[in-house]
Amino acid sequence: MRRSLVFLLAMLTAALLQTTVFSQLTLFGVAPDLILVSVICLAMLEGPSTGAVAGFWGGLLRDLLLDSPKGLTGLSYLVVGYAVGTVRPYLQTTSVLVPVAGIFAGSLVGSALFEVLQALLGQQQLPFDHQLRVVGLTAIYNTLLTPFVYPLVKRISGAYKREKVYRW
Amino acid sequence: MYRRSTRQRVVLVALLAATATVITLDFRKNPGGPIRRAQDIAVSVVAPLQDGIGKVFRPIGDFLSSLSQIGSLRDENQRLKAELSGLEADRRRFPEVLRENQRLLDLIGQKDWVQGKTVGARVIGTGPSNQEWTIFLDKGAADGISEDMSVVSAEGLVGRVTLAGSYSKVRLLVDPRHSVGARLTGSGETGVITGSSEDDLVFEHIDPATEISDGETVVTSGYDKGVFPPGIPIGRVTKTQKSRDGLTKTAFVRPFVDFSRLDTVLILLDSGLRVSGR
Repeated sequence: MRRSLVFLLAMLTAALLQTTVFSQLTLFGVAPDLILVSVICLAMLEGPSTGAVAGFWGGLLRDLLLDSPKGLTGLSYLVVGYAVGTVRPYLQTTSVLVPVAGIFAGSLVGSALFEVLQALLGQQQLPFDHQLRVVGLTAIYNTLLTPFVYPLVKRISGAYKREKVYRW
Repeated sequence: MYRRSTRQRVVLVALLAATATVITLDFRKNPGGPIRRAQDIAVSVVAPLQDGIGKVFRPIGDFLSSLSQIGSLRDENQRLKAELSGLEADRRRFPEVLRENQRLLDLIGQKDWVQGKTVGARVIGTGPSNQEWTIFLDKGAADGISEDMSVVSAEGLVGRVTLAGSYSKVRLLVDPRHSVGARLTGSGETGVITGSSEDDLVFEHIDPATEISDGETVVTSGYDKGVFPPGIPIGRVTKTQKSRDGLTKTAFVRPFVDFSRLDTVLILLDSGLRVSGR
């Protein structure tokens, strides 16, 4: 319960920083998606279930602050959280490139999935090249934040690690 | 191992079902429904925190963003200096023009565009998406704000209120899902102006025979069920082009408002009726 609250608080903090500080610090007019970065970091450190739950709540929080249909970001981010968490154990390396590649790929898939879902519901009115540019730049910007966000999430995750229970 | 993967699948299916429920409930668009209440709660929680964080970090953000704009600021400085020397000459004619303008306004019974009841509000944050142009204000329904009211700044039209609870949310004029009935001040020709992903707004459905000069001012026409009162300045025409079939003309309009530097705005509480006609 305490762990879940801490992770939820981390999502809220990410949303707040995204809509205040980082809305001023744009890269070619694009702000990073800190909620998605946090979801991917949690998925890599905690596994698919926590990744999916964090994706759902983080996405839903983002949805509630948007005018677009609610639930689309929740769906996109929970899929990304689950996928990243599932793939991570198969990468048998501790290289620093793993979180970097994970955040880049996860950001691309998460943002693109959201755009596709919006288009399927007839909500997308921006030109395709603009969407492509925003998705690409968001992924790059998110990746640049890896050295700052990943260690922080790792520390939080380590501090509130679930105790292993052995059953006989 | 088997037990663990089953648990993961159960979590995934439960969350997918929860998401499907949220999407379905939201599509009903029930104003008093659970999604709408959740949205009000989320905005009520996030907005005051945005306000606090914004007060602390805004000066730092402004400083850092100004660093990346040094090149363009230098060019802008040069351009403004040139513009200023031209304006100096206009300034000498200003009192005379003002008197004439007042006489004409009195004649047609039209006053300044910001009239009627208004409430000032501070911008406390932006929306969390790169594909949606929204801002959050520190005033809400308790201050008399309700959905679909017009929002203006000293420069002109800013947007429309889309959510009014403890705080309020405004969809900006530059959002591509935002359309406003507009009028060219020169010819009086009307059309629809829509936000775009580019710097300029798109003014469509203009009669192809209309003469439009670059720099011509565009204002609201008041033809959108009264959401935007007529006469609110929107922007200046930068270029025009004819549609492929030649049936209509399109003008590109540079908004007067700098949406990246919005700080304080005014909500027109009497939007929906002719402001000066009350």
